[in-house]
Amino acid sequence: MKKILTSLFLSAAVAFGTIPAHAEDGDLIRYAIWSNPKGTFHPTLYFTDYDRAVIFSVFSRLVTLDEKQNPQPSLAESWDYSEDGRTLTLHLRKGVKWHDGQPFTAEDVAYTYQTEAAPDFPRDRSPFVKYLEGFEDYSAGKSDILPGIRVVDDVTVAFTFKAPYAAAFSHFADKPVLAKHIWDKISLKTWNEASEALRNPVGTGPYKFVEFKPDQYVRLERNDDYFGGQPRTKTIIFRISNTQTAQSELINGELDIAEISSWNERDLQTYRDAGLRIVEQPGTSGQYLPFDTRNPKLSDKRVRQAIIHAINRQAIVDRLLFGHGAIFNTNAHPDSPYYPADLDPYAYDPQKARELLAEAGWKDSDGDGILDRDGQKFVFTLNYPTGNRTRELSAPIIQQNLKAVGIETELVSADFNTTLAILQDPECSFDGVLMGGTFRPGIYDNNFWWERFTSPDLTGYADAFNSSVDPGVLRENIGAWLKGVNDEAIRVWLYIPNQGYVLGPKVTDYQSHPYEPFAGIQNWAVSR
Amino acid sequence: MLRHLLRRVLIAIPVLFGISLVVYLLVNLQPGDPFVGMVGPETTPAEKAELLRRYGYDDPLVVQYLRWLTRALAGDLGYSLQQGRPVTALIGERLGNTGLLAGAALVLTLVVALPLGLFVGLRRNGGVDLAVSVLSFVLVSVPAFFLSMLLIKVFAVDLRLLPTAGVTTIGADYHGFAHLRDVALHLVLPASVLALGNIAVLNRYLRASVSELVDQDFIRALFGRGIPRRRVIAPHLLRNAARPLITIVSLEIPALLSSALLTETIFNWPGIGRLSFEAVQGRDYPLLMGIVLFLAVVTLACNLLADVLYALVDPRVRLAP
Repeated sequence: MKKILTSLFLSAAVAFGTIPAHAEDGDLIRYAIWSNPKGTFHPTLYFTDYDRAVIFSVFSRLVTLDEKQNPQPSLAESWDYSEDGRTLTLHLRKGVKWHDGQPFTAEDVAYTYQTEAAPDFPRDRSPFVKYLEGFEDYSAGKSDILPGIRVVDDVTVAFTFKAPYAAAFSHFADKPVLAKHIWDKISLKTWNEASEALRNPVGTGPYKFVEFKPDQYVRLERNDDYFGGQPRTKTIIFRISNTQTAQSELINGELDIAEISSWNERDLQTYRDAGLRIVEQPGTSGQYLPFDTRNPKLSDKRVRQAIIHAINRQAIVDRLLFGHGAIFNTNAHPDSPYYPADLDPYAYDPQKARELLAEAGWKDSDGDGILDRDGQKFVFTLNYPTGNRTRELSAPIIQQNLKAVGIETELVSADFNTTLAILQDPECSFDGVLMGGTFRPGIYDNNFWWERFTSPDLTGYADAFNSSVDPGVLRENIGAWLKGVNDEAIRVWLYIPNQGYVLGPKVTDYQSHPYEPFAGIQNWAVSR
Repeated sequence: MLRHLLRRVLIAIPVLFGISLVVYLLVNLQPGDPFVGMVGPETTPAEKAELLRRYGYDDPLVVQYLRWLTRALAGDLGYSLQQGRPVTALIGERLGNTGLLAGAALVLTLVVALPLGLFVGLRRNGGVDLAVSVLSFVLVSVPAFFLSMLLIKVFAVDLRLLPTAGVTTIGADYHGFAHLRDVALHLVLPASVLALGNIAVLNRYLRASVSELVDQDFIRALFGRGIPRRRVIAPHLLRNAARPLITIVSLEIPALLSSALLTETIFNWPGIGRLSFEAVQGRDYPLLMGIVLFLAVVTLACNLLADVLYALVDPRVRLAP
């Protein structure tokens, strides 16, 4: 009898939220991040992964992505398209409150994305706003209203695009919703300097912001009224660490969760010996070697394809990533829904590389081991940035691979900013630059600024898939676009490192999936 | 002497100008710009150029420099591009932390190097002298990075005596004495790394000057007169031997402030070093110029301090015109 009463009491207590459902849970999770967040805890102004970690725990998005990168309801419960597919109407969740108690409404949603299109928006514009109806006039200040975003009622907002735009959900999954009642009091032009508001974010997410100690940590406390259910762990601390000491800190118990920075079996074994667990996932960013296609040496497609054939990409994965990585052959992750099955795999084939180079006129006419054409030797300057160990180590491997087919390669390293600036500046010529990029599910960017390249065919496909939401049309055109990109070979798709997380012994529950490292944060738990 | 000092202060002003100009040029002539890391991959080159223009970064360098200079003279060092906060606030936040680390390292250095240098200077060519010599050379040659990792492995991971990194134990929320103790424990390893290199250098200087002095007539005379060793060493020997150290230690201070970068990164110590490193990487020009200016002022002040202290300690300098 006593037992029944006790369990009834406990269940009632749990039901009324007085006792956490899992009474054995600990209070604190410490998650490592690799660098100081800039303090821009703002959904549409952030630009570093570290601010993003905080933002995605404090704010909510209209949709999140599931394991297959399909949109799942979050702040938006459901959605539908108009007849012509140009208007996307989102039906929002009711009863959601901001961390300061104010109600969340459609006005917040409209405001978040409208300000991105406004003339004084202090950042660069995302492609999403450019597809909205009336964008040109609104962003130039010629019109006060943006017809592309319309508040229908408190829980309904309608987005109208110039043509049906399927990638809208990618944008919604990338940029959370901000609070209108806080940000419309601050002039848009000065948003970047509004450090009070930037550093004290108010969101609707599972965790509330508590404090940010620069270069030390960010502390978050659980939001008991979170619409997705009360989070299990009371406090989350994002602790600024570095890849060298994180291993010691995990083993020492000073950290609970950290991203893996090295797939070296010795490091993995060290973790296992200390009782730590490793979670491995497919990676979400790729490493590339873009070519400057205006460069006379590289304007011939066969030369570019030859270079891909000449590089032993699998060896890079096996040696530098110890097998924990994947190869890819177009501008999308192999797991993405429209990745064609029939791409040219550009297998490692130095012989084929030499044949292609010969077809393009590059032969070794003077027997010195270096190819030449019209008296000019094939010298290839490979620029690469410091800061990513695997990428730095891949440069000499690529150099050797190219040397084996007769291309003399010079390595030039510089810091990240300098190297990326080479790619971003159209006045700058180069041969090849090693650079990485994160995949954005659902976004297939037809701008090839880095490679100074355009193709009417590819643009045709892009226009088609950026103006339809019909799955058949999307499959056909995105597939064709990806195949075309594969064929043009304007960059080498080097490798995709797997992502991994090391979990300390106290961690009892952890979930995340690619592109959503914090989607399950409300369910993370540690033991007492 | 006062005239001499006044002259030094007046000269410091054009020196500061010169430093700011040279650094401004060096920083801006580097390829890259503040927005490289802040724009998305689909941003068109035209849009990026527009952003640069809007924030004044495509004006001629001279114009940009003068704009910065006029504001700096009024005390306005501008806003950090990446963090959106006033540069003075950012530096101020970190100052305390770097100061603590540098201060602890300095104290540790002096406390160890002075007695050590004196000891080996008096007992030259003995076993201890040899051991200290070898150890000093080793410490000077080993990179700070490697030394840090070694100390972490031994004291934090294997022996579990000290924490790995940071200023405080995350999530523990200590107050009062417990907090002080927590910070002190976290201070041990990084301060030691910074101090060990300096101890190695400083004890060499002291050994040299002590051994030079010990052979001097007046010291031998003092010893010969039967005065207890202690009363010879402390007032006469040490004071004279420590004189060159004043200059060295005064110049150590700016070095500690600026070169603690690597140590601060490994130990996650939130100091000026890390701030300047991130500012360079992100081409955060206003922040970078602010930090450089600050360090230049500190260096010049320390040079001045060295002169003053030297004059105080050495009457020969004081009395000369």
